[in-house]
Amino acid sequence: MNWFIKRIGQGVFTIFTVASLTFVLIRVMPGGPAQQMVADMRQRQPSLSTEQLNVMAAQRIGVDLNRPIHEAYIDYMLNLAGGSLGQSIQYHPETVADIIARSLPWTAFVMSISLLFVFILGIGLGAIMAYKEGSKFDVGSSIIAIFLSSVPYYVAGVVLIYVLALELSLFPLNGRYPKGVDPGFTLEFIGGALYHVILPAASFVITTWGGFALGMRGNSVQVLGQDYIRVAKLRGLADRRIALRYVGRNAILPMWTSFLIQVGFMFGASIILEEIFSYRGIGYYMFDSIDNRDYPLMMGTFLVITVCVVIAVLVADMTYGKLDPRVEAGGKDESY
Amino acid sequence: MSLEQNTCMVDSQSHKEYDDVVSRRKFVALTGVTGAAALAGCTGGDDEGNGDNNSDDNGDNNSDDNGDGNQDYDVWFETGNWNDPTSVQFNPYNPASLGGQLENAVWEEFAKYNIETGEWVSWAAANWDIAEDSVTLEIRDDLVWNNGEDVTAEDVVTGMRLQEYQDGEIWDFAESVEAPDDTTVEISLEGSANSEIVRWVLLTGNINASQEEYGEYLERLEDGEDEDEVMSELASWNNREPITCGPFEFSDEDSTNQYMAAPAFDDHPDADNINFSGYHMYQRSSNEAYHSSLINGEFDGLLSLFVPAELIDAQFPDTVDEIQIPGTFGAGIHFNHDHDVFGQREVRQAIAFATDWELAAQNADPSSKQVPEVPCGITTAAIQDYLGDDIDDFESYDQDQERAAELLEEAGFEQDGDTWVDENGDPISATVIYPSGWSDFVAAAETVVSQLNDFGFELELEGQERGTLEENLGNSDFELANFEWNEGAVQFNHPYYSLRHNLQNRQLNSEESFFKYPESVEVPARDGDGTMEVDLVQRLNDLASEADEDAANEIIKELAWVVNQDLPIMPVQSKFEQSFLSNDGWEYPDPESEEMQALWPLYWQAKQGNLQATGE
Repeated sequence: MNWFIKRIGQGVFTIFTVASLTFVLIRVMPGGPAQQMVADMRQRQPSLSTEQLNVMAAQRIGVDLNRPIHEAYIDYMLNLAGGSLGQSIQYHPETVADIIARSLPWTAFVMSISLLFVFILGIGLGAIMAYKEGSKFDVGSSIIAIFLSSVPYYVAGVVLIYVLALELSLFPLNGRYPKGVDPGFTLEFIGGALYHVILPAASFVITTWGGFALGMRGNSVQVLGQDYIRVAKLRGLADRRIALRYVGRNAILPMWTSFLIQVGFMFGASIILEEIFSYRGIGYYMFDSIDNRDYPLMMGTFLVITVCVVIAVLVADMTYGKLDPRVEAGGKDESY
Repeated sequence: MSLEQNTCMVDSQSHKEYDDVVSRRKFVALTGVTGAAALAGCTGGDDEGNGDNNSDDNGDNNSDDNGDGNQDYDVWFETGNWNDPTSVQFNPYNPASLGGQLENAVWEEFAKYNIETGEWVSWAAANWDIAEDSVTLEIRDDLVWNNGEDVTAEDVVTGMRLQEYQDGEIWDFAESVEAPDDTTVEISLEGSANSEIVRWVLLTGNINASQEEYGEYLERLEDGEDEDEVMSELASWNNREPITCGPFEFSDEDSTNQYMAAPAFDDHPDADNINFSGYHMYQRSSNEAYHSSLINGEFDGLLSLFVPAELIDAQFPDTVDEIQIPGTFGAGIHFNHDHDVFGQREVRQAIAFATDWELAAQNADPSSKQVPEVPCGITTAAIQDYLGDDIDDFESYDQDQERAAELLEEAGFEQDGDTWVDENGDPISATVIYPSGWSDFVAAAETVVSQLNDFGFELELEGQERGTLEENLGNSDFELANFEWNEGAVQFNHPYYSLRHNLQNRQLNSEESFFKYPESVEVPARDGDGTMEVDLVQRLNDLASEADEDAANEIIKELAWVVNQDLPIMPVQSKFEQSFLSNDGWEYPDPESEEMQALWPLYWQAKQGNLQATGE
């Protein structure tokens, strides 16, 4: 139990440190929200004079951004402790919590679909590659897996958009669901959302499954060489039973940690991917908030991503011992 | 480009009752889509209702007439801008994502300034009278909001009164604004005012705020509610369902994730001028994306975009016409006047003489950039109008490196080998910051810096993202900067604004000029005899309040002289706005004609009935 408390304490400390560092880094970024808004307007629509725009931006933003950083920090942390992430500048009067609440599920949706397919493809193909070790299938799959793993997901995203959305018009260019469809438990909406998620998810899946497959292949090959597998075969157990219960179970164990760490990676990656696909998840809003120097929204989205990564790693640490009793809780294999 | 042709249009003017039931444009769409034109007793469109036959196919052009001599086509004018189509809003008091350029289509300007002729064309304002202590504006009596209400003077008054709380420029002169009747707006002036400046401020405004939408905010302010609270609320309102009065209206319903839709507004009094369905405004996020859309024929036109001539020649289809309109600004070297070196007039003049602005324009783009005839804080289009023959007295700063060397020596610098050094042996060194994404500004900055380094300076270039650059400039945290020497708003064509920008800049810092230019300077007298001390703040105020035109022109010349002699900013080049229209399916006046010299052709020409779909 002490170990669990220690790990949770470490997680909270990590979140606090990241939040503090992020707060300072955001505030020292050049260009504030007002300057960004005015610069943006002047560039895109020069019909108003800058003097008038300055007044309009100040009214629009409505918060005092000139307070000393330490005062702003203490206020923010106190509000945070009280459960408030503040109000967005760009989407004022919406609160940061509201924006996160409506965008996070979409990011989770992309991630779930992606991870599901990454896991199925990676584990399945990895296991087959191990069983057919040395075959043409194994060599070919390994080459493809290595190649695709080395392609950045955002490059895959751009290529998919160009080929499948722009050139062939098979998939929508952007968005989360078709325009004009009201969100709800309707076939039209769910079908539309699935249709829109295909390209962003495919960008992740195509560039990520290879790593899992190679990992699974390596683990399986290692397990296949173990004495207990030989013993199982000598006992005359069915191949299917050996493959699933003896090889699969043991080979898949180390993948659990990779899987949860991948969750953290995907949250980070959503910033670029959602921007590419104009997919309004939490990453999209984070990119947007950086662009507009929307400090509260930037902090809020960054914090959510941080918390998700910490929780994922914490879950990996806490559950691994349960999944594999050979690993003692509090051992040396901590992820932090 | 989908195209449907209505070949048997009902005359909207002689069928008012029918118009009440089915609007003219909806009728076009209906007949196009369903082929229901046959119901009206004539044929049109092809069997599939895609209407891609042209007027020759039906062999009877007269039968296509909609009563005004025009045919209507179910074709959209496809164009683009930078804004996310899902976040654009139309509250004129909220600066965030405002309009996305469609405000040019859905709002009505009081009048339009033609840069070529120098004349105002009346539009939403039927006429205007600027007297010594008041201004009277007569509003057209036939304009209607798209909610069916008439546009009245009270709407205009509401809009102007709200502007007072946002430092709208009209309130630099106005004391009060009233609406004595439905079409008359009476503005009482605070004191004597320069009628030309008042005209610019007044007529460049729009009718964009209906009393129905914005009246409540004004009432609350006038009832004594907290101004900060009300204005913050108003400035935060994202209006996606605006009440508009232009010949087009914004439709959130018809907009998608890819484009904003502004269908034609059938009840507009000039609806007969429009023979196409409306505008689709797509989002593009880089100059290259715009170029590609024009090259591929995805766009039928574009409001404004910098495109180098070589790209137009090599890749743009022949169907795309470029319309060049003199812009108000271009790249200019800004000096930090608090700087030990660049605060000296001789050094600034030496920099001007040492550099070849023609070459900078050539390198940026010879067809869309021009060198100011003389640097004087007046736009290229207006310079002759205001300086006349006196322009010969002004220094043109043609490249003359000997003169530059003399000036530096006068300022106490000397040449050490190839480098100019001060009395301590330190070289003239500085970092020149510039907006990194603006390719024409980059080329100008690179040329100027390269020339100055060849001349013996030690300058470095540093591109900065726009927000960062403006923050550094606003904090006066720079030595030299390549930035716009005037603003882009149309009123900056008038010398008062461009001179104020050069001499008393409040663009990025509300307290003082961001480049620390003093409020009073001493320059050589214009007649060459001694010097003259000019209180810039005072003289700009004098210019704003000078009712006598000749006297105002004299002040303009005096202030232009100060700019010319002291170079608060060194304007390297003036740009032409580059607007684009495609004649593939569209017709419009000759791109080089006088009437195209009004901003912006793709909207203004449509309002005038000069931009028409051809159905081809």
